Amino acid sequence: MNKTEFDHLLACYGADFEHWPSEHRSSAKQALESNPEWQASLLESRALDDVLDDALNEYALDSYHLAALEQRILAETLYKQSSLDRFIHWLIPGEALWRPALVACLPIIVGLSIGLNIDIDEQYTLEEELSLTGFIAETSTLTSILEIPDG
Amino acid sequence: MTVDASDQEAALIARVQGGDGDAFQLLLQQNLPVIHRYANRMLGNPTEAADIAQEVFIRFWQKSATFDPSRAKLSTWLHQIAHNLCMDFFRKNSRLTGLDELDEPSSQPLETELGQQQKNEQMKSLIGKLPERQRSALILCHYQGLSNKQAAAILDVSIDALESLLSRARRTLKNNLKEQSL
Repeated sequence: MNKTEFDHLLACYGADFEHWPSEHRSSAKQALESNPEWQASLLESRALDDVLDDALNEYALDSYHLAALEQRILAETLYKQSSLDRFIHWLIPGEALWRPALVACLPIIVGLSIGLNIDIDEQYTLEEELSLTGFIAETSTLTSILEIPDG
Repeated sequence: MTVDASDQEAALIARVQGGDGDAFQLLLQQNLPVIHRYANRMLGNPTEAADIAQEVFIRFWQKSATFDPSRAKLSTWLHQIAHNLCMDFFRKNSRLTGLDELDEPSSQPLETELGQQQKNEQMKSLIGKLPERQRSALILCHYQGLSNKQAAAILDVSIDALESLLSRARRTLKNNLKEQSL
């Protein structure tokens, strides 16, 4: 690192190496140890850092107001969700594509389970059989009465 | 952030993306103080800062699916939302520019012993007079402890542009301090 680079980084990030890009920290520290001119530049820059450090450091919320704000946010997010919101959030979370796929398959699964539960060899009851036989006999009699002879 | 902490955060984000309220609450507790402090430092008003912080986390909850933890840290994303909301706030309230809303402190020579409080007020006022992007760059790098890469991503600029913002901000403050003999 040369003096121009050092001055540039000092002008950007200040005298505290913790604020510097990590890749330049060790080389700057090493060069600084053997160079009084660089040390003077650092000292001059430190004056601004000291004033900066004190100026905006008390901007934290106290625990009471922080807890109140947290509750306000939870009320606007978690507790505000409708069942539909929760379902949509569950359905389309971004990465878990199996969920929409599962929902898309749901009608097929329901259809299959209903189909498998229907007894296709179902037997008619005696009353149903008699009623059907009577109906068939009646229609065949009617057909023979109305039948027009050939020729 | 260590690899373990980073993995832990990624796991919590995945749970939030799956609609897990407990994971959201944990990340809220971890990040809310930092995000509120950023907004407060930008605006100089704890009430407005609370509104901004609230909106940041509502958006996080609603849009968590769009966030990819492999591409950015959560703190970067949350700061980016907060930064954009602060810029919107300044645009809507163009008369206000943040910390400069504080009463103008009287300028006094160094010979007079200034109380620490008064010095701080003077510095706050000077920071508040910086252009918003310079102020944001300074707050992100100096106060919020973010890396230059994170700050550049938040401001949506290159590292060179970020360094330009930072050096201009520091030069202005230095010159103003000299003028005020702080």
